[in-house]
Amino acid sequence: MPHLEDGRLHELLDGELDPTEIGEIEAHLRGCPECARRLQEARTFLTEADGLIRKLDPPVISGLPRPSPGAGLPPLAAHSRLLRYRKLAWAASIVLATGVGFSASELWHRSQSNGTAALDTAFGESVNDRGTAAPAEGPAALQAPAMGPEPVGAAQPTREGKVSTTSRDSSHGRETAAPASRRPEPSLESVPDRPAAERRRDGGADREADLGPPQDAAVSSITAAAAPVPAAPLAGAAADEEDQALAKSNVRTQPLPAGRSTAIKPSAVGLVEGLSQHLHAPAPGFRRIVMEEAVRRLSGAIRLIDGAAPEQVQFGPGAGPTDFVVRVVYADLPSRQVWLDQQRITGQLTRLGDTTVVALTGGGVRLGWQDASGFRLALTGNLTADSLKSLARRIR
Amino acid sequence: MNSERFTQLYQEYHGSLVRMLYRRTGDHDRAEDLAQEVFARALAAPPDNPRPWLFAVALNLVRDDGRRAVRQGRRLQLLKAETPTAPTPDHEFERREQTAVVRAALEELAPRDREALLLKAEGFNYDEIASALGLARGAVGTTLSRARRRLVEAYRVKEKERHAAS
Repeated sequence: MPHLEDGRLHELLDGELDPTEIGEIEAHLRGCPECARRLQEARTFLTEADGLIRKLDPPVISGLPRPSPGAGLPPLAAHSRLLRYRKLAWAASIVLATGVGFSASELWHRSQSNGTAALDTAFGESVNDRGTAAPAEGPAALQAPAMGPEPVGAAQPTREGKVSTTSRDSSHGRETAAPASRRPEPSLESVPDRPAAERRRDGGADREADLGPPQDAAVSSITAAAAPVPAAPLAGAAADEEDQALAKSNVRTQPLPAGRSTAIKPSAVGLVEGLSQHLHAPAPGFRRIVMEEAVRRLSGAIRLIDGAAPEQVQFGPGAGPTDFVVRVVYADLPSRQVWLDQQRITGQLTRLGDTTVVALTGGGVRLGWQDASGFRLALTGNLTADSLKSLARRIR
Repeated sequence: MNSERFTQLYQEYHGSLVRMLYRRTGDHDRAEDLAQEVFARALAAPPDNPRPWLFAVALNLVRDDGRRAVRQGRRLQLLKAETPTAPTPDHEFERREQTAVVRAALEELAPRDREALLLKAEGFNYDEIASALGLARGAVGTTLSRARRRLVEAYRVKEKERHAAS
C-alpha cells in the first residue's frame, strides 16, 4: 500500500481537500500507522511554522502595543494610522478623499494564524463515528470562558461537571438564506462600527438554513464529554495590556420550557481551563483564521449567531486525526467569551435530534447537537444552559 | 481602475501586504515603501485577479530590492552600530534575539518555499498561492510541506546554537 505523500498530508491539514478525498485518506490512515505518525509530524511542523512566522510581527505599530502570539482582534475603536505616501501623493489624494481610515493593529492581526504544539478538541467523539458514542481520544483541551477578569498569564483550571441535563427544546428555526454581506452588522454587545472592508470580509459566503438544537431533542446519554486534558496554561498567551474590553453584553435570554432533566455522567473527565485575561488568545492547538477560510473549510457554509458580531474565527483539530473544528468566538462580557464550534459531518448522521448539555464546574456550560444539514455544533460559554439555548436558537 | 475600486483594494489588502512584507524584510519603512509601489503599479495596470497579483508583485519587488539592499547593507550596518540605543528589558532583548533567529531560519529557505509560507500565513489558499507564484496547484502542498519542515528544523538548530553560545 503506497504511503501518502507529505504534500497530500499538508493539503489535508490546510483544508484543501473535498469530503471524498478526506474520506479516502481517513480510510488509509486507519490502516497505516506510519502515515498516521507522519500526519502527526506534519501537524507539528505546520503549527510550529505558523508560530514562528508570527514571531516576525513588529513589536509596536504606530504606538500600539505589540500583538501577542495568538492575539485576537484589537479594540474595535479605530486607531488612526499615519500612512506615508512618499511616492504616491496623487494616489493618496484619492484614498484620503474617500475617507480611508482603519485600525493599525487590525492590519497585523487579520489573517493571523498561530499554532501551538498542543492539540485539543471541542467535540468528544470522532467524526468517523458511525453510530456509537466513542469517548474522545488523544489530547484534548476545551477551554471554557472564565467569569470576570483574571490575572495576567494565569489560567484557572476547572473540572467538568459530573451532572448534565438535557431538555426538550421547542421548535424553532426556519429555512432562510440571507446573503451575509447584506445583513446588518449585529452584535452581542454595543460594538463600535468596524471598517466596511472588514464587515464585508467577515460576511463571507451565504449562510444556509436557520438551524439550532432540534425540536423535541431527546435525552441523550452520549458521552460527548471532552477527553482528559492537562491543565496547562495557554501556550503563548500573554496579556495585551492595551486591549480594551468590548462593551457590555446585550445577550438576550428567555426562560425555556421546562424539560426533562437527566443526569449524565461524562465518560471522561476533562480539566477545563478558564481563559486567561487575554480575551483574544486562541486555545492551544487553535489558530486564528479569516472568515473566508472558515467558510471554505466548512464547504461553503458557516453557522453564526444571528444578532451577534463574531470577535474572531479560529481553526483547530477535532477528535479524529483528520478532523478539524471551526470555532467562532463571540465576546459576551469583558473577559468572557462564547464559542460556537462547528464541524461538517462526513459520515452518516447518527444523532440527529439529540442535544447534550454538559455543565462544567467553574461556571461553563456546553451545549452540543447535530443539525439536519450536516453540521455538528457545540456552544460553550459561562452562561446558564437556558441562556446558551437561547443563543442556540439564534444560530443561522 | 476607478477610485472606488482602488480604495476598496487598498482597504482590503494594504495591511496584509505590509504585514507580509515586514515579515519578509524586517524593515517597516521598507515594507511600507514596497507596498506603496505595489499599489502604484496596480493603479497603472489594474489586475484582473488582484489578490495574488498584488502579493506576487510585492514578492518580486522584495527580491529586486534585496539585491540593491545587499550592496547597501554593509553601510547600513555601520550606521546602525553607531546609533546608541537605550538598554532594553531582558524580555525585549530575548524577543529580538528570537526574531532574528526566525528571520535567519527563514532566509535559509529557497525563495519559492519562503514565499509560499508567507502567503499561506496571509490566508491564501492553494489556488491563490499557485497563481501568485506561478506554481502548479498540485505542487503547493509539497512546497509548503518542505518549507514548514525546513523552517522549523533550521530554527531549532539556530536556537540550539544561540543557547549554546550564551
